[in-house]
Amino acid sequence: MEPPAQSVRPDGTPIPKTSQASLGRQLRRLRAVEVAASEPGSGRPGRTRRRSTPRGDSALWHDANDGLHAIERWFATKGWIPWDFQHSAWEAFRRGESGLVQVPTGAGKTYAAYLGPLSELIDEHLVAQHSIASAGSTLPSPPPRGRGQRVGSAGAEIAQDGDDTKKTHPPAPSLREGELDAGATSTSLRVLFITPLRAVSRDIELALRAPIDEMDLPLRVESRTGDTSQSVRDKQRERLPEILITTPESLCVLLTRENAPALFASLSSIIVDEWHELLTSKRGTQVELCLSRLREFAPKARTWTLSATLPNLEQAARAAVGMAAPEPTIIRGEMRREITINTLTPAPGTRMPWAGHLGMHMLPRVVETLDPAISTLVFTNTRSQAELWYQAILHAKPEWEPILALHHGSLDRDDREAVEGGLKSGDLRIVVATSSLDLGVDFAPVERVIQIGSVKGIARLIQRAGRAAHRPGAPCSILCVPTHTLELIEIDAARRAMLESRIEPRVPLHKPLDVLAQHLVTCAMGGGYEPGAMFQHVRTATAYATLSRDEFDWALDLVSRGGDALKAYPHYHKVALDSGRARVGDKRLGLLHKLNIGTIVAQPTLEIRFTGGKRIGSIEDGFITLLRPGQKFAYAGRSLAFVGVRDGVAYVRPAGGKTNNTPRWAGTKLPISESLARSVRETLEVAVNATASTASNELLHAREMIEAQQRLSIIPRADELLVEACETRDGHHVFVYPFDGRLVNAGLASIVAFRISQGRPSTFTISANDYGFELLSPTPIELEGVFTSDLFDTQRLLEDAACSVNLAELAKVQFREIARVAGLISQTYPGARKTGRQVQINTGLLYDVLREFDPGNLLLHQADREVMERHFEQTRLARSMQRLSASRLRLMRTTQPTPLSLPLIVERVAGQMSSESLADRIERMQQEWERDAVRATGAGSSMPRRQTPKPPHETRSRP
Amino acid sequence: MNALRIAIADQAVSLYPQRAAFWHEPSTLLVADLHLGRQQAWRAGGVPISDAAQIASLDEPLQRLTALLQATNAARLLVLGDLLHAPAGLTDAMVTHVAAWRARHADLRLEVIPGNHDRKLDHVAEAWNLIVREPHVCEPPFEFVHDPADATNAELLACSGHIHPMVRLATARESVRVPAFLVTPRLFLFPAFSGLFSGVTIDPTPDTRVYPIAGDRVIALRDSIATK
Repeated sequence: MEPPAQSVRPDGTPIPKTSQASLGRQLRRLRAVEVAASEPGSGRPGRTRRRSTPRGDSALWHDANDGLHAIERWFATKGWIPWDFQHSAWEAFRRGESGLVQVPTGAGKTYAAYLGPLSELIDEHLVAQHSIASAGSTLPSPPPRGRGQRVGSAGAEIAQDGDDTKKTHPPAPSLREGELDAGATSTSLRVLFITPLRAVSRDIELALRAPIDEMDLPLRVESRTGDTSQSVRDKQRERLPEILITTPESLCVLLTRENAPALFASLSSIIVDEWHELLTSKRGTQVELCLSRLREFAPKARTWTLSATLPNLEQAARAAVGMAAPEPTIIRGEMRREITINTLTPAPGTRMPWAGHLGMHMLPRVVETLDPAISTLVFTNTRSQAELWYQAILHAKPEWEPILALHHGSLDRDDREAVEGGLKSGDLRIVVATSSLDLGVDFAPVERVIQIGSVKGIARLIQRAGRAAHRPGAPCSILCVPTHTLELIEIDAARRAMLESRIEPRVPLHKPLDVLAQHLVTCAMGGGYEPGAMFQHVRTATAYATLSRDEFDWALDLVSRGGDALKAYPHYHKVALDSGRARVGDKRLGLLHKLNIGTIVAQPTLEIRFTGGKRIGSIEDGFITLLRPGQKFAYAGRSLAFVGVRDGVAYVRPAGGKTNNTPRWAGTKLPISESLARSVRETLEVAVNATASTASNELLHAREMIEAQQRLSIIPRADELLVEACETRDGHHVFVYPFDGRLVNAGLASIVAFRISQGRPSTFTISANDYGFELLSPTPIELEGVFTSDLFDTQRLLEDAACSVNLAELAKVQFREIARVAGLISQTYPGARKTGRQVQINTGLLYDVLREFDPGNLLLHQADREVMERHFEQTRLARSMQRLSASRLRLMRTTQPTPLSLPLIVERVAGQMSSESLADRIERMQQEWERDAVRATGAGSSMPRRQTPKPPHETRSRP
Repeated sequence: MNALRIAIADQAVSLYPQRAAFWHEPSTLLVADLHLGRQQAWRAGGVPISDAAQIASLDEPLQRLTALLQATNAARLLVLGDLLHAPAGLTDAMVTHVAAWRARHADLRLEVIPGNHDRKLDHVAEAWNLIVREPHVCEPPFEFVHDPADATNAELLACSGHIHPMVRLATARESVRVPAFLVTPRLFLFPAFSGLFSGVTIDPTPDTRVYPIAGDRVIALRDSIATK
């Protein structure tokens, strides 16, 4: 029997003899490695070697598990022992299963998912190379394939090859380029590695390449991200490497290639990294759709996904493998990493404030703790807080300038990468960061993590703590710096929740039609599709499992004809049916689509540069419009003076001195998670009964506040709901404390205000924080008979929520993202850049028009749904209301604001709820101004609050 | 209709919450910034707005004008610029639709001061039977212009649009932002007639009289407050 034609290249040209010879050398080297590793005495300690016997179903002349053994031996040469979960994952993969590997970051999950597929590639190459080798007669003839005859030990077979091969062990340096090309017998892409973080693709590439280089395998590993150079992209146009690392967005761009079906047909495994990060976002949905498309091209491809600890692993695994796959295999790396939570308490004799979120009073204590000898990450919750803390630390310790740095998502990428590099190399010792450093890049030297302010959630706490000593099994600790007294209780609560492993679940999105619309154009470009078949494929993605044919057709109609509207506008026909197949005919529209791929919609920001031209980062234009030329602000750890805006770039010059004016970024502050919130309620109850001997350090320090609260009011038990009322010169306050996170508390506040105001025209100013909410009214609010369990009735929740807040305003903001993702609005035009603000205006007005004149538009419904979920955490809100309606109400009238209410008063983030007519309100406001004017005895202004005039929004987009 | 009748430069003027003013003596209805054809212009730019939605969005301001004309019995309608939105918005259907409305008000004298958006005004002048005026129209005590910066005669009170003014009214507890008429010693500023615009929030100077539009009423902020 003739061996298959491996001696020709994929394009049909014969492989020259010389490269065949080099293949033989490679093969010998590889076998030599195996032989050496299997020699007695080189076995790994503490582990019995597993050696499966050759199985009858293998048609190969060598051991069916050779690939796996090669991997194990490579591990041994590194002095590593595979973890059990790694072994399980490799074997599950080789059995043909798909699934999920759950292990903490840094525990070796990349190799758990990757080496299974690699072992299979090694198997194939051994066969392939054997065939080439035998054709070139450089090896003794093995038994021909197909006879079912086997040579006993592969090691013995190779041993005949003589001593020179052994000299190549330990592994030879990597192959030269020419050899590599000639040696690549696999014709195309086999393993696809998807990472959400472009920044780590380089690190992943090194990790994936290491075993290949060291085992001298003729396989190529390449990255394809937004950073990939044009020349590499051009090479990848016709042929992808065997192993490709990419991001969800770049994968989508690859899927727009006309030859996509051929490019991906040979795919045997897909690995998705950091799945827990992607899962809850539209990027996750986009990945789900891409995976369904890839499985269409390569039905046998196995999907493995890597995730941190989640309580809903089954759901996460199912989302990754799709609805059509058999039950996914879940492999848990049971590696309990010990996390110690310590709290930095105020210096003896000083008091912790009862409100405030910046925590600057703790600066001296933090600076005292910091030590350049110990590499430290200082996490804050917002970018502006990071700016302030960086400035403050630098001010306190100017000599730390060379070793201190700032890192957040709005800084220029080069600067961020420099900071990451400095952390890795150990040159930077202290870095103040936001969530921008939560993920990804492995900073092995980091030894300590400090968290300023609330930890917000258990998963986040574990993630951040894990940044220190980022090694498998190593213990880690986090030092929490509370910014006010209630956070002391929160830290204690977080520790309790962590000990009980109450980690927050992450739930995938439910059929966002904008993502589907984008996908339908992507696939129409990448080979096209028949709509009926596409509908079936889309439904294999869990997000769209319940998608109706009507909804699918609506989305297809949107991209093919712009919906009902645009039949008469040929240039809007992105997708056209061409003899039953959906395709994109127009090259320009295709290009436009590629430029707009993705689901991350940037906030409208301006690039910020020095007048000399050096880029510094980006900043929200809402902040810039409030600046006067010459005004100072802190950014990127520097004092800058605003010069002006030209061509969409904000120019600044360095300014001396210190300023507390920091930019605000729109990213909403995270609310505390549901499980942390629950733990806080329980901890408060514990705090009441705690004695000096049983209380934690945190509770001891919170004691003074707790006693004051008990003097003025009560501390609610976990099954009670505390409502306090008091009057100040601001008006009549009611404080309610559900302890349910800021978003839910705000939603509750709106609904309660709405329900109270039914039947009695009134206007409330509403504020909310993580612990409770405040209703402030110009007229007295009754408690008895008004604050009853009925207020928390979940019936009519949706209707009342929709009436109680300006849903339309919020949905309008949300619609901006939807319109962009669905491709209604382009974020980038070739040649003509639109500024963010123009996009915002267009989508805002488009929303108004659709809302008023095209109310059946499904994207509007999606905007409403997303607002309810993102702004109020609707499902969590409903659970909360159920709990509250069963809680015992404690109505307290107090003579003054209590410690619990102070943060609400100090950090008032006001919304409004009014059932009065606008005219009545203005009339009442006028009366109030007059009263205030009298009170102020004519001094000062009694005019409505002054606003800085802004330039007309419309002028920039005026034709 | 709830009009607020006031005196401006000793002239009787009624302010309508439909964002128009009626100058009683020469029986003239004054409006600014209609931006007709805006939705049509978007669609030409590829934004999906259905035919029905386009016509409905065009009808809304026209119907409002009809109601105002009936309420005031005005002999003349003077547009203070930006009758049109963009050349691309002048689709045949749009021009025909407005022309049909115009035909129903054949006796009305329709005059337009060209605004910065009115580049193709001449194209519809005949079909809509409108008189394109010069950029400054002096009818003492008023000078009608589109952009307040274009006013030339310091003796006259400039009546203009262009800015789309809004005001924010606030107490310590609450605030609302509404469109408004503003009157200063030099300027009578009109809110945009088109409702689909976010305007510019104006910080009134102490000598500004502010007339916010509160739903179906125009309110006079009391002088003691507004001029404080």
